[in-house]
Amino acid sequence: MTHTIELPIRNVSCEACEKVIGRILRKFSHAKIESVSADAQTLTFTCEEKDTDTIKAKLREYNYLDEEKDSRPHFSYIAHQVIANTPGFEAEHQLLTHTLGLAGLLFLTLGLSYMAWFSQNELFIKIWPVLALVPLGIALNAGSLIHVRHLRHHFNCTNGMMAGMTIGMMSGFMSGAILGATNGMFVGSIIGMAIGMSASAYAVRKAGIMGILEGLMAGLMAGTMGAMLSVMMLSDNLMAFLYLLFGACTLILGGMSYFIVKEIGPIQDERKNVGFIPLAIISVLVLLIFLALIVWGPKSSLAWGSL
Amino acid sequence: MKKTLKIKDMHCSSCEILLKEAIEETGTKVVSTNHTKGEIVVDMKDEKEMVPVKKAIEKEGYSVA
Repeated sequence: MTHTIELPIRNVSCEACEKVIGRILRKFSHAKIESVSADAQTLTFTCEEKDTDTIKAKLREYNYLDEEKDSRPHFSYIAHQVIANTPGFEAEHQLLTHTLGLAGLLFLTLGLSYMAWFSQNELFIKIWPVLALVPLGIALNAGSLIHVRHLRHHFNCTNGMMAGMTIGMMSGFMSGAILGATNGMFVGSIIGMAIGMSASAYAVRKAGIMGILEGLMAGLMAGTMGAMLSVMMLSDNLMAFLYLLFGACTLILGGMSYFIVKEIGPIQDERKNVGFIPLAIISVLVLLIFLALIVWGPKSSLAWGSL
Repeated sequence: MKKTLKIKDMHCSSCEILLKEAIEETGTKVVSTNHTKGEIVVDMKDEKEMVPVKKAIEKEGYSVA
């Protein structure tokens, strides 16, 4: 079966280069050049699927294959490898299934909590859309945090700063916004800040002081900002804002995981296994603390009354 | 005998690869190529081999100075 692929190339500057590439491909049946772009440094060609690796090896031998770019695959490629549990991406696949499983478990816990404690509470009915975001936020942040933790030893300064900032900012923003909406500015800011700062420091610990400092600053800023925005929107479209915010945070956390795999590669070290039980216990505890704060925390009724 | 050919417009490694393969297809051995100097050193048994070598070079769009 033939397929068409695009490869990043280098050292291709003239007609002679294209001719040499053409000669390489002519040695394989059904292989032909579709296009060569000297400006974009890309080569698109059609060949039999079984010949792809040999052709790449030949291009490598002639120093035309851009190894650095070729080893940094696109988002769709990585996503497919992770979902399909391709060899080399087993740890990421496990992390993804654990995150989804964790989200399910946390939603179940939320449902049970409702039946046990909140079903008689009129205020709960008013704020249930906010509560539904809590399990999602915890599962997303836990999955991202573990991904960063597994690869933090391989971070350089820039990777560490980016990962620390993303974890600090997303966890701080999400928790600050939820608690700000249900408990007001003070509680939202303090807890959002504490969660953002501690999550980032834990995620990038041992990855360099710059990553830790960046995470601490991001956690501080996002924790207070999330709470502030929620309080400012109590008389506006707060619920729509919270859902948009969580959607944006989900995209950013997914982007961060892609960035890590692209920059560092899949999890390869001896700590491949991601234990679900400790992750589940800690996450359920965090959820229960959040629920307790939302229901019984200071200023909660004031915030709820304005929703 | 070794002979150095001066090639016009040979400016990159691809030109070297292209010309080396084209010359060797005629049966003449290429000893070395140098695109910065625009030179190809070939090992010929006699002068008669120059005719197909020149033809092969010109077929690829280059010329021997």
